[in-house]
Amino acid sequence: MEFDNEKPIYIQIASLLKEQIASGRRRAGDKLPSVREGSVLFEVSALTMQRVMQQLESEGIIISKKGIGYFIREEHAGSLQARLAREKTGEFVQTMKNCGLPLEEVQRLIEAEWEGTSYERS
Amino acid sequence: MRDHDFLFQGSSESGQNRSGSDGPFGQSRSGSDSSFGQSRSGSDSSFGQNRSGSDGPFGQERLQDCGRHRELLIELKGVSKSLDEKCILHRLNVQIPRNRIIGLAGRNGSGKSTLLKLMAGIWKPDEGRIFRYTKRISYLMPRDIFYRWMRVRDAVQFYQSHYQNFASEKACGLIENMGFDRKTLLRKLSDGQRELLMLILAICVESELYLLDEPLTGADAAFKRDVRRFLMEYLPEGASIVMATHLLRDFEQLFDQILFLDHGKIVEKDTEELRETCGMSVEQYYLERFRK
Repeated sequence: MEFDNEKPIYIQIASLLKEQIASGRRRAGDKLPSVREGSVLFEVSALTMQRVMQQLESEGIIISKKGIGYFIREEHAGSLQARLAREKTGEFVQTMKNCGLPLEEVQRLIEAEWEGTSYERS
Repeated sequence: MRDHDFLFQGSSESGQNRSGSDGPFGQSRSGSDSSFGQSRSGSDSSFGQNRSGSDGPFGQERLQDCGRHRELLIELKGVSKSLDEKCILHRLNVQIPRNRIIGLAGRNGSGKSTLLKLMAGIWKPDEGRIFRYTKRISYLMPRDIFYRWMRVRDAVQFYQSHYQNFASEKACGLIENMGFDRKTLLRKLSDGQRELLMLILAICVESELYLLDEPLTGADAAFKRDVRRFLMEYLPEGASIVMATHLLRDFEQLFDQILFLDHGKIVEKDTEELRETCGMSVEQYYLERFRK
């Protein structure tokens, strides 16, 4: 698995897992890969995987059951989608504002991207 | 062959106890030039000082000594080394903890191989002390180390007879999976294939510390990526790796820590911290800081 080496790898893996939970690919109560399995899957060290688990645990998304593994918390699986959308939108909007783009233009951009067509600036 | 004999001596954890007649490199084992033998009785080794001489490689005193350093595998204190009167490493202090994948970067001649050989016990430092809190160290052999007449199966057999803790079944399985024919002459393999074979053999020596010196210079790009998975899959749990490499881009995602060697000195960084604070990759940091 390839990562963007300019950003912390553990944050990228945590985001990936959060997206999988938000999209329903991983459901509430599901067991996450173990540290060992994750390190093979993502091709990172065991320490990086431990950091991923700590991060997700501190965000209240997973719970560690001693000796069994990490599980996705029931109460958070549902709200994660909304939370993730808010977070990502927040980042995106800030970037667009920094670029000086007006809302209407950004809306058109999103729609074009959503439809999968390339957007030509009018 | 002389230097190669050193390698076998230094990295063998059982070398001292063996009779020396059962392997192709057997004769050199009894030689008095074993750097391991020297460091055991020398003052540069913590083991040397504690050993009474008659108990096995894990004497009582040593285990207690290990207890104080549960987190560390090797510690270098004020270590200097010169080669041909040129100072390669100058008063280095390095600690290698357990359960870490550590990269070692630096330009050619910066002392990466020297540092790994010192850690393995193949060479002795001129100055300073090296404390080893484990005897289970596996050092990756150079790809051209075996005799010309040897076949893949002979290399496996050599490891089997030389290392008590060699996982034969695992090695044979991996060799088969990677498409090797056990009857193939080693000299008929490509450089990349021989490197892969050496890596399989080194990883199958069940150890706590793996010292890998440029493991893949001849391998193709696709395989370099496969190797990340290979290492994570077959590394014993809790073991550490110190890997000298020029291929930072390919391997940096594996590294927890990176050691940069520069003009005899060492700069140590936590890779994730570096990405977080500097917003750049380990490779970019290396190129900007040390290659300008």
